[in-house]
Amino acid sequence: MFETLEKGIKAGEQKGAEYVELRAEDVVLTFVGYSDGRVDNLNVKARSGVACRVLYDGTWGLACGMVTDTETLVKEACSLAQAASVTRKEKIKLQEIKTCEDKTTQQYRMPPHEVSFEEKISRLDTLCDLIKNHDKRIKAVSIKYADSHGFKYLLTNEGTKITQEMGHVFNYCWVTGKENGGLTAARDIIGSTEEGFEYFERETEQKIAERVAHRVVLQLEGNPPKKGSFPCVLGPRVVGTLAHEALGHLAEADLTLNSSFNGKLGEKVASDMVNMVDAPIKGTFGASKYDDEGVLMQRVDIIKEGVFSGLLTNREYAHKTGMPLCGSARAESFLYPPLIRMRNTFFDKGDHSNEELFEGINFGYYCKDYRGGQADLNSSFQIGVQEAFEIHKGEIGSPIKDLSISGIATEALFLIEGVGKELGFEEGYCGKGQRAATSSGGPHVRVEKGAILFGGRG
Amino acid sequence: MDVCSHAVRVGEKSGADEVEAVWVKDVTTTVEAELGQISKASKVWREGLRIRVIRDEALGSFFTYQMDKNAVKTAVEKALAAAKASKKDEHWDSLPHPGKYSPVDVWDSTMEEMDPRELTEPVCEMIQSLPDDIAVHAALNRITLLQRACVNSNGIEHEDKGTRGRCGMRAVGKLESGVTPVFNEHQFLRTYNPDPQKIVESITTKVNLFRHSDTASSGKFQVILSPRTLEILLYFTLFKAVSGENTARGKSLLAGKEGEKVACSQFTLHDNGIVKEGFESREMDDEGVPCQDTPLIKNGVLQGFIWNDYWAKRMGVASTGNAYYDDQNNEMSIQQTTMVVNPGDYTKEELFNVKDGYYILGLQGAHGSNPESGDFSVVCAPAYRIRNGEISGGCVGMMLSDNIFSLLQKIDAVGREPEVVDVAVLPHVRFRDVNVAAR
Repeated sequence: MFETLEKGIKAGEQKGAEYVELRAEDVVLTFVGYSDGRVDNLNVKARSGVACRVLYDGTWGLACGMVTDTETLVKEACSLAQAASVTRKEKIKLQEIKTCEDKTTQQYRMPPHEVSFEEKISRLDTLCDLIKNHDKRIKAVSIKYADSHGFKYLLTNEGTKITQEMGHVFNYCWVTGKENGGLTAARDIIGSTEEGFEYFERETEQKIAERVAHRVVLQLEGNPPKKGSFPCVLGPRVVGTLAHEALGHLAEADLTLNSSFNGKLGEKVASDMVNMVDAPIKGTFGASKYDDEGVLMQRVDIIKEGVFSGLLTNREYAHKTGMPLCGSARAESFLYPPLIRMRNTFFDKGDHSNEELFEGINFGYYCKDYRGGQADLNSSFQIGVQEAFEIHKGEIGSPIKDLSISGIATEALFLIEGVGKELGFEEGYCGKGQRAATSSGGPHVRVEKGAILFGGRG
Repeated sequence: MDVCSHAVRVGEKSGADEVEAVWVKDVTTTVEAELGQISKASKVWREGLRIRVIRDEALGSFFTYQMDKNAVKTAVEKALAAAKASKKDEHWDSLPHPGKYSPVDVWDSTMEEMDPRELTEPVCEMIQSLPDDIAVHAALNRITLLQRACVNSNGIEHEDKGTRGRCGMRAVGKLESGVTPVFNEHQFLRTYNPDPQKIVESITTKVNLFRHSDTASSGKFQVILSPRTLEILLYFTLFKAVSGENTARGKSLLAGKEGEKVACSQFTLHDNGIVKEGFESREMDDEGVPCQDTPLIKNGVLQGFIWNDYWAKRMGVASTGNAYYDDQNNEMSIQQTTMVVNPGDYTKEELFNVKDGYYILGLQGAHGSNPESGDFSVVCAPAYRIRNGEISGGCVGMMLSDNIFSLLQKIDAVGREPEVVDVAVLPHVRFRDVNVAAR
């Protein structure tokens, strides 16, 4: 592979590019779509190609296609950058890095690509049966299983030469329940970019089935939420989404500069007890040794004791902002350029017991599990909640259905008044023009009335 | 077409009962700006071959970016191995059979020859024309050339092509403390005629209207949804309920309600895969079935659903040409083409004749809706308050919490001017008694 890529590097240098980066991949992906006992898709994809990115006259050029066309693609990338550079006044510059040559490997016990299709389907049969048998009100089960395995190759004219073995396993359930003519649904998403099929020895079919079926039942039995602002306790999976949406995105340096958090580095943005981190946590979804610019993934303390302290950067924005590199430049595949992305974003633990967090709440909500979220540059955030309960006099009460919460992060983060002791995480995909595996989490967190708006109808 | 025919022959010789080969080639050129300057130009070639085979009523599929004969042979073998390992589907009937295609002229040859320099001009014009108190978060001008061919062992042999253009930007207004929500303005084109000045004027007007801030209050209000907002809401709620698969599997509250009133009389909705201006318009779907104009709701009465070939045959109806291959998830499913709401009688002035209500330009969190129950609870951003027929200012932190099936019964005005927004052609629509939650 690298012999072919070397030719592309030379072609770029001959054209006068300041920086030439070739990112090739050779990955096989398996997807099984499964519904109600039927395999409706068993698809395998061989994804192979190269992204040729150049910095030419201070402007990016990118051409993506087949590895066999590398030299042509590099020349095309130079021409594209040249055409785009005409009006650019401030030339893009990259933060310098210490280049390296490395080869990383995955430590699978059960490499997903070596597990037979039959075994993968058998697991889905078991999972589907367990979900359906959990409660007679469960009417439909849709499951998506995916895995991948392959290699990514990175070569730059600066001397970076990295081969990373890559892969993932992923399981998504969407389950429908029906009662008295009404329908509802709940989901479960899990995955790992580090473990192989052995991941499902820990995340067993029984565990997944119990989780998702229970959520459906709670949805069926739940009451509509009230609308307005209430004190609340957020569970780790919702706290993670809060970390991701409320400030995580706006700490991505390419978003920060046009956001409500611009200029707030070093300022207080949250209550003293808030510490928020983005880091490549071993074993979680979205972590690897290097990012797609060949930078080692490193921890970023986004909030330290309530003070906005760090940004996620790529080489361009590290140079522009003066913030350190952290290895956050990630691309979905060879068809996309690397973007600044979160890896594993979480609120760090505090010192409140769960009992203390619920204590004294006369009426409020406990939000335990999420269903999607979204952020805006003005720091408005929204989190869909698929598992929630009322809190009455400090005790967890009746379930709530189809809740959604929102707030303005520049205000809400100051109203966090309790942080628990035990961390939990959730996994998923983040969409920012392209898809990236991420995980997020935290401990239980208590938030004052006034921070979060509950979008209910009652 | 040749590579598809070859793949089908290889599949048949290799023991497949049925074979389908789909070739796709997309070439996308984009010029993008960040932080007020052009930052990047890119060109992406995505050419691949997808092979589906059926053996003993079990289906397997393989996608490859390699197109030489050896690669095709390998792809067929891998697809057959997948089919062999898969489960027999007792409901399997057959791959689609040939149909009659409606010609859809969505190819603009000027996009074939376009020089990247030409693509930079509208982006420069947009970023240079914006006033200083509005910051461009991202601007782009993009063209895509799409070509496809489908051949299957039941006699389908068809190819189609189309061009797409997208020009626009995401921008925020600078405020004394912070910024406004993101304003999103894009033109979705099948022929290349971007109008950057129109984009700038629209964003500037909307941002300036937002600067006169107003407050939101909770209660039931008249709410006007912009075409973009309505598209997002319908996509994540109603269009899941009109999927034939979901009706067949008991996952849709609309199942069995054909002929019943499900919306107000002024609401007529189509899934139109052949409307000329539609961003998703094309001659065939992703399994070679002709695309068509499918009435879903006519004058408030439910007409039918959207189908791919498998679920249509299973339920004894005809496919509506809505098979969709999701390249990201590597999955074949049922999806809308272009959602079309028929325009109504109301001018913009008449629509905004509201004593106290809201005008919503965008939503946060619609993807977290519950398509089964139809419940949604979303943040409105950007959103305006309307008082006495005038926009009185922008509102921050308001939510709509309602149900799509009840919302359709609360339509009180449909605008007369449809707009093309991504995968929809829709007018503004006004609803009454919509549940608003405010801080």
